[in-house]
Order: sequence, then C-alpha cells, then structure tokens
Amino acid sequence: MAPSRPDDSPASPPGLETLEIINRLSQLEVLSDWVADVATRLGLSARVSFRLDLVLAEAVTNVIENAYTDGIDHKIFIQVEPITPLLAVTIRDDGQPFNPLDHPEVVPPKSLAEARAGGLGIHLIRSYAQECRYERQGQENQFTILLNSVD
Amino acid sequence: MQISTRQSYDVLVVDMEGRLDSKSSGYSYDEMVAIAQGNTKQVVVNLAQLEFITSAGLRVLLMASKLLKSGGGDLKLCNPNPLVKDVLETAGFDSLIHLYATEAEAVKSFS
Repeated sequence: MAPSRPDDSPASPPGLETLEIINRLSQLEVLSDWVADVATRLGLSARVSFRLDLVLAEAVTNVIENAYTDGIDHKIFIQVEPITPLLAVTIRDDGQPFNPLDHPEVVPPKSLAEARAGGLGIHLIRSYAQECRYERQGQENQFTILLNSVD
Repeated sequence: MQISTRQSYDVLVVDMEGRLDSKSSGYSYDEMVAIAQGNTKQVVVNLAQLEFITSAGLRVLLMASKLLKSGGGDLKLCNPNPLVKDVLETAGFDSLIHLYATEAEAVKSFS
C-alpha cells in the first residue's frame, strides 16, 4: 500500500519528476533526453512517451519564443507527476503573461494554398491532452497539460 | 537531424533522419529550400528514419510543399512511423500533402 501524504507535506510525491532548463532552443535536447529517462522510470509506452515529448517540446518552445523580450537567461521549470491514469505535466516560467490557450482553435485548411503554419503547436497539445489549464501566479506563467498515461 | 538526397528515376528522394523540432528546423528549412529550388521538382520525402516531429517540423514540410507547387512540382511523403503519422494526421497534413505507405508507391505516383 502506498504511504499516505498530507497535503502540506514538503516531500515530493512518489514518481514526481522535475527538470530546470534555460530559455534557449539548444536546451530542447536536454528536455528530450530527460523525457526519455522519465519514460523509462515511469514505464511509459512508446506512444505515451512520444506524446509527452511532443507536448513538452511544443509548450517549452512557446515559452522560449514568446515569453521573454529582455535577452537574458531565465529558468523554466518542468514537472511531470503521474496521477493514474494521467500524467500531470506542468511548465512554469517567469516571462511576460502568455496564455497559449488564447490562440484560436485551428480550422483545418481545405487546401495547401489555404494552409497556415501558425497555431499548429497548440493545436497538437490540445489534440493530445485530456485537459489544458493556464494560470498566472504572481510573476509566473503556469501551464498544465493532463495526458493519458496509458495507451 | 540529417537530411540526404538521392535520385530515383525522375524523382528526388529526401531521407530525413532524427528529430525535426524547433532546434533542427532552421537547418532543415535551409536544406528543404535548397532542394525545392533545385532542378528536380518531383520530390518524395522518406520519413522512415524520422523519429520525432513537432509543429516546427510540420512548418518545414508545409513550406517545402508550397515552394515546389509554386514552381510546378510537388512534394509527397512516405513511410512515416506510426507515431509521426499520427502527428501528420492530427495536424490535418494527410489532406494537404499526399502520404504513401512506401517509397515505391510515392515515386510511382509521379509517373
């Protein structure tokens, strides 16, 4: 039986995975390596691991490309918590307020000529997630994505 | 991310290998623009060795397809692994860019 944990306990819940990166696109490699390790530790299937990799790459790229204008390094905090049958994926950053869910739903284009590149990232996140939430907490953006943890 | 090309009859086959994401999309964009501006306008992108793709990678494929079409050519995709194929379908690309199960089918479609 799993040990109970009071809500105010400072200890990390079992299976909680965390990563801290800097707001540079070169850090995406660190992120994908970490996702591979997390997938192994949590015993995720190839499909769930791929989707975790994808939603994190999209969400973190959004932060790196949109949340900062000052040209200096900032930390981005990433957390994956298994809450069976879901994975709660959280991205926190101290950039300017930026809600990715403000982007309107992508309307599938009828032709190549009509197709536009914008909004595909958040479209993929929305498509793969069970739920997405954005909150501004103090000076931080917090974006949470709930993914199925099983196929 | 690696991109290489080879000729198959009158078709240029582009092999993509690795991860096509924001980190590699700049290099991939430049490579695909050079390919689209080359002499062969019939292009098949073989995705068999592509492990991962994000929206940044989708934008590269979309741009290359538009460039080739505007020059009187075409771009076709083949052989994606099931997870990459799922991303292409989720993004609606399967209705914009022809997608074939095998390279042979994709090459043959130009004849």
